[in-house]
Amino acid sequence: MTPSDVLPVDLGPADLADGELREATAGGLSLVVARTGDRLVAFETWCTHEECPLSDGWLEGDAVRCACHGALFSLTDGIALEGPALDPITVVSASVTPDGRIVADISTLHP
Amino acid sequence: MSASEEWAGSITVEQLDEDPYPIYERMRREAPVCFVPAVGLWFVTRWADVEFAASHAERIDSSVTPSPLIRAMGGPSILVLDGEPQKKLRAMLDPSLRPRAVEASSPALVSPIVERLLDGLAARGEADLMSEYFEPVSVLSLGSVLGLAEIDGDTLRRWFQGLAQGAINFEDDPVRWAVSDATGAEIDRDLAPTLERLWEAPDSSTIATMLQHAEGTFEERVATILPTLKVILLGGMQEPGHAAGTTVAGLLDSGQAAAVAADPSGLVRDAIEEGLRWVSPIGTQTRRARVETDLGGVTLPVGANLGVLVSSANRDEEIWGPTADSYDLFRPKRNHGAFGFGPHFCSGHHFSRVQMRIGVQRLFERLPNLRLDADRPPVFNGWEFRAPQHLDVRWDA
Repeated sequence: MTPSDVLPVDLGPADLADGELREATAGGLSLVVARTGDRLVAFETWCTHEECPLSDGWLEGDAVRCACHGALFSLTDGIALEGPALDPITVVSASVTPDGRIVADISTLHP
Repeated sequence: MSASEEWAGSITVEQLDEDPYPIYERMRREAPVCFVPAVGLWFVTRWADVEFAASHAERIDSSVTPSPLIRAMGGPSILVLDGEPQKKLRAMLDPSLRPRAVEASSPALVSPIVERLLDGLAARGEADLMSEYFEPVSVLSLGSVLGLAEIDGDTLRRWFQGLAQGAINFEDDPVRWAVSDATGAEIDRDLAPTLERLWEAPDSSTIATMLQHAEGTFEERVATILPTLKVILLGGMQEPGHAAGTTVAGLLDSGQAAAVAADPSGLVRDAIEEGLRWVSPIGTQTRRARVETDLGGVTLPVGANLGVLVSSANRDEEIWGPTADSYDLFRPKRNHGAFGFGPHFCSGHHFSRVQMRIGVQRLFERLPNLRLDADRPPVFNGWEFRAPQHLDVRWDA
């Protein structure tokens, strides 16, 4: 069974503060969950520049900064706002279940 | 000879210095890779070709011959090396410029410089922001990060202006060489005590980090890092100071400054990124065809020297649309090429951006009703390096 067979998947407790991000795994896939204001998102762990883990980075408003070389990605549409990355990351919206779990359809995220 | 080749043959350095953008626009449309005899370079003008040329060192590398950069910097620097030698220099340079290191240390270095300069300006109600604010912020901030606290701001500013005369000397002007050579010799002499101090008592500065990560005796390490250190003195002082000035000129001239004045912290990032795109301070990267290469509809012969124009790529209508020539704070957001592409992407981009954000944000927070001096509008000059020559403004003191 692959992650795309189980929609949406559980990505951990919904205890993220505004501006906080956290590494998560689902179905063998490494990803990051983050809260920007009222919005929860999940995105690929690996920076499209040199595949540093974005879970080591930090949020700047509605964007995530890679700690290795400083690329900045929009968490609205995944686009690279600042180099050295050129290619986007895939970002999906997440939601919270009644019992306080973050869930998202991660079938479009890349392994 | 085609009409485009004939036209390119008539282009002068003076025309490029005055305003290269109409020339680039015509090249993108008619001859996107085009030899310009006045500077001895094939100009590469479209985004896709610029990105390719800057990112495929197996076909197009940095070994430009003859290179004004090698003479200006006193030897091969990080800008003219590729492969392992370039990676080694980056490994010496990168640790002190990683985003987390920059975030941890740079605001505390830059903010006092910004506040001190603004303290001196605030009551005056008018200033030339280039010479009295942005260039001093830039040179003093970089001097602190590098470990050059004992070198005064005027000297650092003179050094970067002198090195620039050589770095852009594609036309081999002896007057420019005289200035650049004298500056290089002065830097070698005056930096010697600083290099010895940072070798014997290393701190977290960029120079100390580079010396520690280099190999060999002290003298061998100095010989390895000095040309790259001069590149940093030039580019690191130029990119942030000039881009910040360009940003403010763009905001004030476009009528979009009021939005930033109303929300400086919220909009300063977007304002600066658009400034970097609109008039990229370091607009040209030189490259050389290692092998015969098809690019932009022409076949570049082995050894062809290229001017890879990030400044033109940043105005490419295919990427930026029909308003590419305008400064527009609210343009749809995406990355630009002002810091380059590929292995030579600027190591110091994050430090530069942090410094610019502090400088521009605090300017709008502290100087109310900032506006251009109508009697002295900003004048931009240069094509390899481009910035306002002065930026005369007024505010309510």
